[in-house]
Parts: sequence; C-alpha cells; structure tokens
Amino acid sequence: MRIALAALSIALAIFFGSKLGNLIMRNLSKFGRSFASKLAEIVKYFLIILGVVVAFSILSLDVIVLTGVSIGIFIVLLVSLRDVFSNYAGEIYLRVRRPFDEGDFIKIGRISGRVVSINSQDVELVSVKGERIVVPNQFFLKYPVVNVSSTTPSSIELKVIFKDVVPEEARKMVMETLNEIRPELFEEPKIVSISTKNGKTEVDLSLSVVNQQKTRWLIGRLSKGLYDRGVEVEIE
Amino acid sequence: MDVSVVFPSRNREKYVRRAVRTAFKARHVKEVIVVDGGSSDKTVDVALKEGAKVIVQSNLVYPGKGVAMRDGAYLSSGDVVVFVDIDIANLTPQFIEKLYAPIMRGEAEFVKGCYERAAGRVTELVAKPLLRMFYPELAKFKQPLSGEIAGLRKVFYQVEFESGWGVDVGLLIDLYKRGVKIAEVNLGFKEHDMKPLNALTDMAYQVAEAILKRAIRDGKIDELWAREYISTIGKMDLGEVGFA
Amino acid sequence: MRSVAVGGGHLAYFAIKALEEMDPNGKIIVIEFTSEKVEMLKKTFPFAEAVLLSIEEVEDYVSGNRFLIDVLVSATDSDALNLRYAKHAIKSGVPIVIAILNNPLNEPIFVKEGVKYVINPYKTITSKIKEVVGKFRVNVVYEFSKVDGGIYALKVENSKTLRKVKSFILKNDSPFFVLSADKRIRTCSVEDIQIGDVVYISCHDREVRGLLKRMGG
Repeated sequence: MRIALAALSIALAIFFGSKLGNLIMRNLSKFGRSFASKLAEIVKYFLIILGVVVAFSILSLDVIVLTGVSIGIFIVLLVSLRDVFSNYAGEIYLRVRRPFDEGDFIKIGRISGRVVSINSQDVELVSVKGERIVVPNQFFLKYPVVNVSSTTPSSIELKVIFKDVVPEEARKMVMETLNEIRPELFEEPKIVSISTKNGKTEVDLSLSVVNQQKTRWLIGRLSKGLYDRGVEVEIE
Repeated sequence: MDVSVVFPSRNREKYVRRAVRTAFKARHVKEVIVVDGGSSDKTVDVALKEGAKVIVQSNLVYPGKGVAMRDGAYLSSGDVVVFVDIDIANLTPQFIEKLYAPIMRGEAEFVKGCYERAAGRVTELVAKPLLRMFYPELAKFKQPLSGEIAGLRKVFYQVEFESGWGVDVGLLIDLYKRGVKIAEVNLGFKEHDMKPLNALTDMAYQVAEAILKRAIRDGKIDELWAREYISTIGKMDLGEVGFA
Repeated sequence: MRSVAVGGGHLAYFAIKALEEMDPNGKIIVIEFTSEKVEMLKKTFPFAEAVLLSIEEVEDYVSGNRFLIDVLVSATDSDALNLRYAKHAIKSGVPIVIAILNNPLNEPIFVKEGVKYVINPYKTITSKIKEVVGKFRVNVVYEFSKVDGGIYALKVENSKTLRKVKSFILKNDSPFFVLSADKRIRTCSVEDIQIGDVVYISCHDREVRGLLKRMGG
C-alpha cells in the first residue's frame, strides 16, 4: 500500500511538473523560447524532487537525513554556482524589463557597444573599435545601464600628425583623401584646425558617421590614402 | 540537421493548436512556422501562444498557397523545410517525420508525400495526363500535386514559387530539371476535407498552366503556336451541339 | 553614408530614390537575386552599385560589411525575407535598419520581432481617403518613426466634441493648427476653435489614445 502511494506521489509530481512546465512555456515563450523552456525544466524537476521526498516520507525512510543532505547539496551548489544563478537572474530581468534590445547601443560603466545578443549567462556587445565584449548578466542587476541608441550621426574627432610637411601641403593631402572617403560619411568632413607643434603639422578633423563601428576603418583608410601620397602619419 | 515545419493556413483556428503541438513533438524540429493568409479568426493568436513563428503572407491573393509556401521557406532557418497542411485530422509526429526521413538518411534532397486515399480528381484528370505528355519521367509520382513536401532549404531557394495551385507541380518539375534528388514517401492515410467539384475548376486551370508554361520553357511545345493558341482560347466560338 | 537596399522592385524604387535625394554623395548598394534584375537596376539607378547575390549570400554580405553599412533597407517582395534580413542586420550592429512591408498586417509582427523602423506604405491609403471624403471623427495623418506620436486630425462636428478637443489641448499643451470649413489653414487660440473646423494636433501616442477611443477613432 505504501509503495503504491509512494509511486503515486512520484507519478503525480511528474504529471503536475509536466503540466506546469507546459503552462510556463505557453505563457513565457513571448520572452524567448529557450528562456521559457529552461525555466519550465527547472520547475518540472523541482516538483519531481518534491515528489521523491514525499515518497520517501510515505515509505518512512529517513527523510530527515535525506532532507539534510539535500539542503547541504543545495547550499554547496548555491555558493559555488552563485554567479551562474546571478547571471540567470540577470537574464530574467533583461527579458522581462527589456532595458535594451539587440541592436541597441548601450553603456554600462566604462564599457560601451552595440548589443549583438542577449544570452542566458551574458550579453555580447561590439565596441566602436570592433572588439567583441562579453558582459555577465549579473552586472545589469548591479550597475545602471544607459541605452544610448541613436540613429543620429555622431562626430569622430581625429588628429592627423605630419612630420616634415608644411601646413598647406598637409591640408591639400588631407582634403584629397577625405574626398575619397566622403561616400562613407554622413556629411561633408570638416578640417577644424591646422597647427604646427614641435616641428610637426597637426590637422584636426571632424567626421560625421552613423555607424560608429566605422571609426577603425576610416582611420585605416585615411592612413592608407595619405601613405599613397607619400607621407606617413600618426592618427589620434 | 534541424527541421522547420511550415503550415500555410487561413481561418484554421480549430486546427492550429493541435497541428503546432504535434509538429514540435517530431524529432529534430527546431521551429514551427505558420504562414497566415489573412485569417479573420484567431488562427494567428493561437499559433503565437503555442510558440509558433507567425507571418502573414506577403500578398493576400487567393489562392495564395504558393506565396505562403515561399514566405515560409524564406522565413525558415532549419536545414530542412517541411510543408504540411494544417487541417489534417490524423496528423502525428510520425507522419511529419516520414516526410523528411529520406533527407536525413541522405537519400534525397526533395521529398513528395503520397497517401492512401481516393485519387484526386485534378491529379488524375489534368496533372498526370499532362505530365505523361511532357515530363513522362515524373508521371510515376502517385500524387504529384501533394502539398506535403520536404526539402533541403537551399533547394527551395533555387526555384521560383508559383503563387497559386500550380505551386506543387511547378516545384516538382523545376527541381527535377535542376537535377535535385527526389523521392516519394507513403505517409499512410490522410484525413482531410476534399474540395467540392465547383472549386476545382480554378485549380485545374492553374495546374495545367504551370505544367504547360514549363513545357514551353523547356522547348517541349512550340512557343509561338502555344502563345497564339492560349491567347485565343477564350475567344473561340465553340458553336452549338448539332446533330449529325 | 553607405546605404544598402535589398530588393530592386516596386517598394525599393522609392526607398532608393529617397536615399539618393538625402545624400547625393553617398554610396548606395542595391542587391537583387537575378542577373536580369541587376541589369535593369544598373539602368534605372546609374548612381548606385547593383550587386547580384543569392538569397543566402545577403546575410553573409551584411555580416561581412557590418562595420561599414550605415543604413539597410529591406524591400523585397517577400515580408518573410524582409523580416529575416532586418533581424540579421540589427543583430550585426547595422545602426539604421528599415523594413518596408508588402502586407500591412505584418506590422505588429515586425515590431514584436524587434524591427524598430517599419514602413507601412498602405497607411496613407486610409488617411487620404478619410481626408478626401471628409467623413471622419478622427484621422491619423502621420505617425513619427522615432517618437511614439504623430499628427492627428480631429473633426469638430458638435459642441460636445468641441469641448473634448479644447480640454485635451489645454490639458496636454499640444501644439495644433486648424483647417476651417472655408479651407483656411490657421493657427489660433484654443478659444477660437469652432464647430466645423478640423483640428490637427501633434502629440504623443499615449496622450491621444484615450481621446481617440472616446471620439470613436
């Protein structure tokens, strides 16, 4: 009789776990299917474990020891995997609250970049220099995130430093090179100022771009353009 | 390889839930897509609740089966795309798995499903005779107009989709011409409402058009003769039935 | 700036024209899937670069050029393809991604999938017909793309509507102008709005929703 009741307890736990899992899937799929399925799995297995504990108690097995061991294992897991659980909690926060979406440009602390993907443990960004940055989700629970998504163009300020080139010549070469890259810019490029310092000619430029990730490419293109004109420069 | 299951659908609220759940139970299925033909019932809402991806077909033409299939193929991300009618009463995961099994085994790149039911009228009276005339190699297919098909996604991107009822036979001919490995699998019995006779006229015409267009394209009919004939067919004075 | 338009058909035509008008010195790339269409595009848009790619190659192209593309407009004749390309471009970090709809019923689906800028060319049909025939209470004249709001036309047919409109404008401090029955366009104070006027109000979507509901919009 007890064995039958214990078996029933486990069977009911599996049944309700499955039903609750499906309910979670149906209602939380809108936040992401894989996210919902993970949560459904956790709830399902939690109920099954509960069913097993109840079955053990029905069979008058030493539930206290079992419960104690379970709690012990749970605490060890919680401590050793706290970052994992924190990151998972961060994912829940990001899915429900949606402070940003894929494609948005965000700043968190000193890190900034465009969001490539929101994952269960982390968020992947691409910086303006094209670097891939991975931010653990728990950071979004602790630090403010600024969504600076903007489709308006931003200015890139560059300083081109020529050695042994007079200002007029430097201006001419810069203008010619800028004309070549003009199709990539949002507006006409501006030479803000030209000055000489310690025998070097410094040309300050302001370039307007929509895609901030273009910066590195522009610097490379500018260097190449000037190199093709016979000068080596530093660009800051 | 993973699978995308696509259900072209219009006002099929009472079938959607079961169809989507059944499809998700089939092995290797990563996504279920419902392409809606502008339903006025809750087809879209139910599909979304069940976790299907939904899109409304790009052009609300009737019949828009081909438009829906094209959109389903374009939206899918699985390696294999399976098209199934949403209102099959006896749909099971095994039914769906049978369709793409030859592809998974590497035996085919495109699969037509056939089933044990009374032969379709348009199939027997229009499609098969025309295929025998112009594409005898394809006349062996039991159900060349079958809407249950599966194929590697890349294969669907090689061809154009007819917008109407000619889509299934059009795909069969075009993929055959491209040398794609084609197989036919028996799916067993399909419980499905058949169209009344008066609804078949358009279907018959479009199926015939799809085959004849391709026959012209492939040089099996003289193009000039065909164009002249087709352009005057509506103006022909058929006369009256007389007595000898 | 570098703009990429996918599709060279009916919808894309107007998008490409707009891009060229905005930035005549910019770089426009148009992608199509058949060589005949690419040849046609070269003649229609001599200022643009026409590129032949297969359906699957477009995503690789966008990924490969994601640091350079400023704007991507997906305007093929398939909403499924437009959605796919738009989502891929957003994920790749393209800053401005615009999808043009073939079927206006797909607008909520695109928005739900995270495509912020969706152009529904058919919205104009409704508002223009209402404007021409003139039998309406509320007409959504224009919706902004970057802000949740727009310009709404409210027809003042009776004293009850007049009261509602005046109270709305005062409560929300909304800018407005009036098209009076004698076809004069005028700015005026709230007190000078009369029965028979059509009041064009600009405000946020959340402010006007309640009013639209009450007025049967």
